[in-house]
Amino acid sequence: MHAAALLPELGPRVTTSLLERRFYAGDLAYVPPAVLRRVADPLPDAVARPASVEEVVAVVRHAAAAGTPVVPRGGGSTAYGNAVPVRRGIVLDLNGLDAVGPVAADGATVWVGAGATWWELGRALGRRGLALGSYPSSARAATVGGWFAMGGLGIGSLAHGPLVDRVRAVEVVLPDGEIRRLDRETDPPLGWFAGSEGTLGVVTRVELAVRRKPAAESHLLVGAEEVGSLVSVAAAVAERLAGTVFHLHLNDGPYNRMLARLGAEGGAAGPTLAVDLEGEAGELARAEEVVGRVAAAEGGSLLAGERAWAEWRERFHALRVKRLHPALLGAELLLPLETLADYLARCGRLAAAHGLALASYGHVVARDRVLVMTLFPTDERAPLRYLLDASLLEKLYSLGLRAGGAPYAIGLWNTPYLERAFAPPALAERRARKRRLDPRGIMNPGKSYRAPWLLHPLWFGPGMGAARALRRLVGAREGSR
Amino acid sequence: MSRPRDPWAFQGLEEEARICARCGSCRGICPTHAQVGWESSSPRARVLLARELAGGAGAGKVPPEAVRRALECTLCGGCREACPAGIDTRTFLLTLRERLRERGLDPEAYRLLAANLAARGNVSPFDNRLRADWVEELEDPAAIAGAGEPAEVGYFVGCVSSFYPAVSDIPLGVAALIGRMGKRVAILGEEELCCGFPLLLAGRPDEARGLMGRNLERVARLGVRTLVTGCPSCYHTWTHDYPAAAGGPLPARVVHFTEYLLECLRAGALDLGEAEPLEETVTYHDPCDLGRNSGLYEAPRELLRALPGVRFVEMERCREEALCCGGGGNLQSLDPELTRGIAAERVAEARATGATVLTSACQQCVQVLAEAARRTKAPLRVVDLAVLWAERFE
Repeated sequence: MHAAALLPELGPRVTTSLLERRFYAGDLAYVPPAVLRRVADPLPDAVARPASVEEVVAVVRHAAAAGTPVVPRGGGSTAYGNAVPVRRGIVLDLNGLDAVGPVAADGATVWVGAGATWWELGRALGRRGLALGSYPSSARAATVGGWFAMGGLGIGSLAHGPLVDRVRAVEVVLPDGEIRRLDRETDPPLGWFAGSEGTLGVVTRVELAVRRKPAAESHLLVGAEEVGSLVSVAAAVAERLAGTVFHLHLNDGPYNRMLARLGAEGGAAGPTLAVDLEGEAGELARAEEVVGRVAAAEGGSLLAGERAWAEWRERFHALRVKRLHPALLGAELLLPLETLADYLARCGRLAAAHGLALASYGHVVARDRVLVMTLFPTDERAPLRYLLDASLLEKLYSLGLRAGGAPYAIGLWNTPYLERAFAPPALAERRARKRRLDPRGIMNPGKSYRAPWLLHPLWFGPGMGAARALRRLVGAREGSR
Repeated sequence: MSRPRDPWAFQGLEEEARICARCGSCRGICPTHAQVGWESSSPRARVLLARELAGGAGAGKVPPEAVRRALECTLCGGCREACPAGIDTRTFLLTLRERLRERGLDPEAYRLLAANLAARGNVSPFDNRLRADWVEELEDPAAIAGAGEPAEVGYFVGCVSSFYPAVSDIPLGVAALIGRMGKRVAILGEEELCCGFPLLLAGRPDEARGLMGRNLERVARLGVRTLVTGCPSCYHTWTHDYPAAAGGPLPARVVHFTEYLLECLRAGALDLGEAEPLEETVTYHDPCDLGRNSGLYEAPRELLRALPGVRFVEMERCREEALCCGGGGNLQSLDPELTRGIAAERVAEARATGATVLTSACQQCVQVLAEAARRTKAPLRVVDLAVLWAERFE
């Protein structure tokens, strides 16, 4: 039905092939089919790959007329089900909308297609002597529109703010098929779409502020015995070297020990803080001295320069630890920097209590906030074990919420935390925007605003607690054999 | 199963498929995905497909479309470069092709290629006895050592430039340059067989090793210390697969011709003062089997910079990020239109540099890119680096 209706406009760029649709029914996360079936119906009815905003409009208007869900998809590089259909419908593969340019005459902004990856955009800008203000660590996979829809916190956010701060305007196809150019003065403003996870409309182009390439860069690595010391270093560096520090990235001890097993040079057993600086050469030299002094004052020390540069070069390769653990589960949280050490300490106790190998790394995305990923290995070949292990994610998110943090993204799988992550007025506002822009509920429905019944917070928490108890029982019995 | 000590070593098809994070980092650099566009044509999807295709259900239950997508790959190595989990996608995909062959799922095009190789010993439709016909075009045939005559270097020509007229100037250029340096070169002539790489690509390693064994014996009889080849795929196969087939050291040091020419240049074997300046803007296409897959980026560039009159410009995507020409991985036999699409994109990138000459160091790349330049009417001369050099001394 959908392919036939869309054929005149999209031609070969719409498909109902089962082989193809299966690839659009999942993202990064492995979810046992028996569980997934009870929460979602992810196999889309059709997949469309528009080559222009007009083709996006054609799909959205058709979907609106048919009352069919539309699910925008970029790189499919998240693990929360953001780009996975919950109620079938049409997946909009936006990777064809990847044009870069034009760059404004003053070189201050660039229009870029939502389907361009941050990697390609960065390279295209580099050839013109320009640079991004920030980008995700998944830059090779994540699209401009996708990261905008996910909140846009990552590498460079400390220096340049969240992505939305650098977006001047967006071109959006609303759920009724209207094309709008939105900025901060329009109604709705572009800010509504930042972090909306593709549920308010389809972002097709972004006008992004860019900057001149920095004159030079420098990369340092601070080691210490305790995370708390590194948090203090991070806070001090972020304040004293504002304007020079581009990024701060922290690995805890367990994560660094994983890297050492992978052959990371001079593998440190303890936590480290990577300090990434930009500026003129003289400025950098002074900044390096400041970092050294601050580190020493907190009981830390600067590690070998080559290791610091290696850490910088590997900034897109956080998932290299998958070579040690083919199946990983993880919780991604936005935490206050001041509670990070406490959160990690609690993670350590959780790890000991449950026989887990928890490892964490984080990007300092503001002077007072850090985006943390906490991982642990599991085995997706053993579905029961995998599900029991997954119950620990709820515990991690609870620890993060208790530390004053929130899940970085909601999607489908983090809907149980909605009412804890958002204050009631903020949640009400979020839902009101959705009702206003998408009254028929066709734009990526079934996630981000309310939990499906199986994930309802009323029984989700207790259910996960029971699963954790069962996990300890099963683990104890296995240990006693 | 205990894990190997080296965590980066290839751990088998099933284990590597589990290691895949499904992150999608591999999609942006994939030349076939750029053309086809669907998720099913991405390296990420090929890994997911491998889980199904490599075992389990009988051949009748596997849709042909799935096999096709799994094989729509030039083995350019771009995805391996991009993979944060360090999956050796080249080994992964070659292993997958073996499994498909074992299950009887290999395509007709591969079976025909294998049958042709078994019959002729080369990838062309021509008799292998015609392999050395290019020698007759040499201005100075004395550069080629006769059977049993001593020679400083051996030259493994490769099937494509031996049999396909579009690139038959490559062995002429190589032999002419070696001769100009006062050296004699030994060739296998009609005794040379395909290096075996197309059979590895078709999932037939045993048959490939048969060819390798025969080539090893014949090269050993040449008695040369250095074996040069102008074909990066032959070079990669000789340096990465032949040692296992030999079960010991190779009978000669194997180098790509660009490495060899640079060595000779540094040793003063060629007088650049005798070279006619080129006076052109030249860009260089990194062959995947020489660049990404063998790590050789500098020698061709040094040779280009050394040529008088050359204004050298890089393409947007070069070195580790170079876009494939589309000619590798047996893709041309499976889907010639897809190869043409990839090649056209690469030619467009060359044009965007403002270059009037596109050079490379691979017979297959040159052939495929030259055809794309003709079809797209690009004002671009596509020529092998050996030929470009040889012309300077004519």
